[in-house]
Amino acid sequence: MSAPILSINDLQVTYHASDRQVFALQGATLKAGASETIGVVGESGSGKSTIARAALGLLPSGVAEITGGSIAINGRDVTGLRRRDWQPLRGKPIAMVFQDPLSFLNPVMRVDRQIGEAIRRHAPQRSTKDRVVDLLELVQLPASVARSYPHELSGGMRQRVLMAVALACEPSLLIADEPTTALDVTTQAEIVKLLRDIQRTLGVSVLLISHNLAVVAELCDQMYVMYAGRVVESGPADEILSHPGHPYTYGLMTAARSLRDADGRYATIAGDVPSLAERFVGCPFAARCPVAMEHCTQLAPPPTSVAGQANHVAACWHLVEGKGRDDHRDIAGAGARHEGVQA
Amino acid sequence: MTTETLLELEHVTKAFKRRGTSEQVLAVDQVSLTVRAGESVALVGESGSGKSTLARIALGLELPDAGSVVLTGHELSTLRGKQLRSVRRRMQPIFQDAGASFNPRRSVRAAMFQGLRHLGSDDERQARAVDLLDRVGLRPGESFLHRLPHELSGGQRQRLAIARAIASDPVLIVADEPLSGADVSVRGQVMNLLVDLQKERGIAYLMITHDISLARSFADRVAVMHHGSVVEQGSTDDVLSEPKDDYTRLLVRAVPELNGPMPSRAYLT
Repeated sequence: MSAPILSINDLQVTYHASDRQVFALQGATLKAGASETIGVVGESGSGKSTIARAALGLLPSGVAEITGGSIAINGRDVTGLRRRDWQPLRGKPIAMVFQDPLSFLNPVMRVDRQIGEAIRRHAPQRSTKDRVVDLLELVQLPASVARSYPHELSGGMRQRVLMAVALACEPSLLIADEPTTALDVTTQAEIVKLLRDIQRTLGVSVLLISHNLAVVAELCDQMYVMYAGRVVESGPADEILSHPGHPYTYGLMTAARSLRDADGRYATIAGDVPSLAERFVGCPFAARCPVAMEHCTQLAPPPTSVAGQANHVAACWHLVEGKGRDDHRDIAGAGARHEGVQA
Repeated sequence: MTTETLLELEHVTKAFKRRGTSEQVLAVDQVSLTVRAGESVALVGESGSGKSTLARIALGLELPDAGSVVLTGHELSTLRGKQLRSVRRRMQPIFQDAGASFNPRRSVRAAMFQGLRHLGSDDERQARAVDLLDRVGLRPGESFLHRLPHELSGGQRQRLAIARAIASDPVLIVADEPLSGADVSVRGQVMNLLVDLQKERGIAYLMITHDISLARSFADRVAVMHHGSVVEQGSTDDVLSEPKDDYTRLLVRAVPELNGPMPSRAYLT
C-alpha cells in the first residue's frame, strides 16, 4: 500500500507570544489518502486551522514551534523542513483554499492572469489560455469571468476562482479552510456541492476544515473531531454521527441541531471553550464533561475503538473501562443540569 | 384577550445611494411587521436582504424614507429629545458581534453603567450591575466589573451584551445575529438565557438571523426577507414547514442539517 498523501502524527505546536505561550496542538493525528473526503470539525481554538497550516509549512516562523510529532507528505518526513524547501510542495501535491478569498486574490489583476500564474508555476511550457477556460468550467463559472477583477465578483464566485487557482496546480489533496463560513446559506450549499463534484471528477482528495458539523456530515466520508488542540475522535463520518464515542462529539451534535427539549431548553455544553494557555494533563474536555470521572483530569485517555469498529476511535476513559454503563444517563440531560446559567 | 402590540412597522421603505453614483438601491421596500408583547419574531434572510437595515429602523437608529414605526403606541418620528429617549429605552438592541459593540478600553463596569444611567447613584448602579452580571451567568458579578471586553470569551461577551440590554427593563429586545460570536457548544447557553429572560420578564424578541434552524426552534412567527421585501410571513410552522414562496423554499432546502435521529446513548454501544 502506498503512503498517504498527508500523514500527521501526534503533532504538537506551540505559539510563543511575548508574554505567554499557546499550546495550539497538543497531540493531533490525521491521515489523508487518495480520493478521500475528510472533514475536520472543531470550535474556535480547537487547533483545526493550525493543523492545516502545518500541513503546508505555513506556520508563522519565529512564533510557532513544532515541539513534537511529525508531518509526512507522500511518505517523506517534512517536519523540520526549512521555509524554502517547502516551496515545491505547495500547490502540488497539496493546495489550499482559504476562508476569505479577497485577501488571497490580487485586487488589481484579472482572474485569467491569476489562474495563469498558478498554471505556469507548475507547467511553464503549456499554453495557459485554454487551461484557464477549462478550470473556470470545472468550478462552474462562465468563461467571461476570466476578464473580471475580483471586486466585480460575488463572494461565492471569488471562492470558486480561488478553487480554480488551487486546482491549476493539479494537487492530489485540496485543503479547504472554512470555505463557506463567510457565505450565505444558499451559496454555501452550492460550494459544498461543487467540492463534491470536483472530488468526483478529478479524484482529488478534499480535506474540509469547518466549525459546521452539518456541512462536514454532508460532504465527508472520514471525520476528525478536534477539541483543545487534540483529535478526540476520528473515523467514518456516518459511524461517528450514529455512534459518537466521545461525550464532546455527542454534545456538539446535540448543540448543532438547535433543538429544544420538552422544557423548552436548548441542548448545550456547560462551561466555555478552554484557552490553550495550558497543556492538558488529562482529557481536555473533563472540566465540561457531564460524565467525567475523577481520574479524567489527571490521565490522558488513549484512543480506543468505538462500537467494535477498528477504524472508529475516540479518546475517552469510559471507552477504555467499558464499565459504569448504567450510570450514564442521557448526556444531554446531564448537560442541561450542569449548565451554569440558571438563576 | 388581545395582546398588546409593542412594535408596528408599516410600509417602511428605505433607499440608499450607491457610492459614487446617483443610483438608488432599495434596501427596504414597503415592509410591514408587528411584534406583540411577550412573543418572539424571527426576521430571516441572507446578507443584503435588508434585514439589518430594517432592524436599525425599528430601533430608531435610522429613519425610514416612507412608512411609520410605532413603538408602544408612539410614532417614533414624531418624538424628540427626552420623550424619544424614554420611549426608546423600552426597546434594547443586542448587536451582531458583541465584541465590536463594546469600547475595548472601557471596563465591563463602564459598559454596564451606560444602561443604568436612570439610577440615582454610582453605588446603586454598581449593585444593580453586579446583580445583572450574576443573572446572565457572569459569576461572581464583582469579579467581572474591572475586566476589559477582550478578556472575555465570545460567549461571555454575548452575555455581557444581554446584561446591558436588560439593564433598562426593556419590553422588547432586537437581537441582530445574537449567536454570531459564540461557539456551537455554548450557543445553547445563550439561547437558554434569552428564553429564561422572556419567561421571567415577559420580554418580546425580534431576532434577526440567517440561521433557519434557530428561527425554527426559537420564534413564534417568522418573516422572510429577500431583496428588501418580506416575501413571506406567518407562524413559524406554516412558513418553515410549508413555505409558499419560492425563495423561502430555496432557503429552507439549502440549510445543511444533521439527518437521522439523535443517537439515544452517547457511546459505549
